Amino acid sequence: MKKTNILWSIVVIFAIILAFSPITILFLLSLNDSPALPLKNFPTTKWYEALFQFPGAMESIVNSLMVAGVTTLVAVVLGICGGYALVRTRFVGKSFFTGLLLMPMVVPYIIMGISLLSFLLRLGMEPSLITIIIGHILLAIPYATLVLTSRFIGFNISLEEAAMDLGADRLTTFRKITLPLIMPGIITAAILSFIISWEDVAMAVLLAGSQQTAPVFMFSLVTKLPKFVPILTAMSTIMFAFAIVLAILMRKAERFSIS
Amino acid sequence: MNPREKEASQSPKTKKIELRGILLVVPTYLWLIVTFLIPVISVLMLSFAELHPVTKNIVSFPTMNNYLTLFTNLDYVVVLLRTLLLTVAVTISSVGLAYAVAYFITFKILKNKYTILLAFQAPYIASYMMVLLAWRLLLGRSGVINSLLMSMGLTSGPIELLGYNAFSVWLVLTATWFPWLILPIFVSLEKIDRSLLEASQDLGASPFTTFLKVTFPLSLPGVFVAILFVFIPTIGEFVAPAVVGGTTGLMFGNLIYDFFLKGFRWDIGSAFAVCLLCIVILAVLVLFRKIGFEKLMESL
Repeated sequence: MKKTNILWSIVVIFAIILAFSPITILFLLSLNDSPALPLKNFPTTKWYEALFQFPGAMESIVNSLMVAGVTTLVAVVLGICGGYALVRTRFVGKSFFTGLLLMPMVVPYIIMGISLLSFLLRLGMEPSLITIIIGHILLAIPYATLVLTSRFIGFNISLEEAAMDLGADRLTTFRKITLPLIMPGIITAAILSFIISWEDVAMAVLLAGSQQTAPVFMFSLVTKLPKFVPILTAMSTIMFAFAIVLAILMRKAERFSIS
Repeated sequence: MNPREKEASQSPKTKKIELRGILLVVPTYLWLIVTFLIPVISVLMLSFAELHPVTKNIVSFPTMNNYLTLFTNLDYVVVLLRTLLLTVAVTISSVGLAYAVAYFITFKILKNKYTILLAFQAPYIASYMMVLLAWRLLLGRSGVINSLLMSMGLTSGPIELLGYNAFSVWLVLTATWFPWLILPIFVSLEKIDRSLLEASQDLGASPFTTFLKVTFPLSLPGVFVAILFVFIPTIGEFVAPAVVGGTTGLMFGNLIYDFFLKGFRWDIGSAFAVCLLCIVILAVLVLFRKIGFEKLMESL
């Protein structure tokens, strides 16, 4: 019995190290004099100062926020429409639609990315933030729609009927009854869509022009200009902090809307 | 047919409802068709065409030349085989590790199971790029791990295995993916009726036999979902190899990337992409057959 316990501890500790140590060390190194051990002149904020002066760095974070914001908005609206239609209505080609909806989830990003890229270039579009947004909406639609579909399934339709029996028109019913009831689903779909866009490297790298999102900026700097990597440690720490704040805020909003 | 659909079909306003449904899905439908279906089909067509390198006009169609380029060039075949090998290796190691952790959380931990589950997802609030950057600094001939080992006097020179190579790609992808796979495996382990395990033990089976004959087969739905989760992104991976792969760790995705964004040979790149897509479809079909689509969707 003792022996198996020791074995288990080793496996789990190994897993914890594998999952947590890279980010912890990255954080420490962002406060270090050089991106290597041993710690020297620790802690220093010089990489954070350098980051704010580095051309394109802050701009790319703003771009990321914009791309993720637009992606979230469009994906959630399409998700509400799609989820409502899938649960409440019958239409021709429903199973084809469901299959098409799930397909982007099982096709590797590189294939979707280069397909979309060659298609958009052929249409005469230049790679820009807009092409990235188009790609990100494609990535987010299946998740947003599925989340909202499950919300509509768990929805008591008689509440809507009661409102309409009491004289509310369709729009008022939607605004006062339907929307509040599916709010938790909307928030979950929004979080998912935002995170999908915020974290995506692969699709954005393929579709980016001269305007870059933050992960694309990091990718091009890592592979092309390795001597600026320390600046990226500061940048990713800031983005990590932002993501945590966002996660907590949305968690709160989710709780608030349920109660 | 679920009850709500039945309701809709029985309603006298069926016709109107159908129109409403179509109107509501049209935007999503169009988006999926225009940005996904048509582009993928055009890549499929492109893979059988020969394009003028500059003007991108179709020179000849149909032709198998693009596929011949792939399978007659030994360099490309080597990269394809390496990619398959790496993908299988990453799938086995990450699913295995995730299984161990999920098993541990399900059966060995009594309190706060869900907090521990959540904790394992926490580092991945960080973006994928951040994790890759961290590994880029950790690995490498003069990276953090190697310099630490040398300063401690454990090795005299840098360990080549921890440089930027295929091994590093395997290590990094395993470390990045396994936390995501814990949840689906945990769910299917948690669902298992505990009395089955007791029955097996009462009938004299050793804990290991119980695991092999009862627990593991019952947890297979979660395992298949996990395999799907890791296999698809890994086989198309090109970001991690570019960051920690060096020159010997490049994968098939990097070839496709180069053909489209550096070499501007869309026709050859398309053939490569179609090959990759065929492998993915094959893998998905095999997994679906093994377990059945319904069950797979259930455990998602």
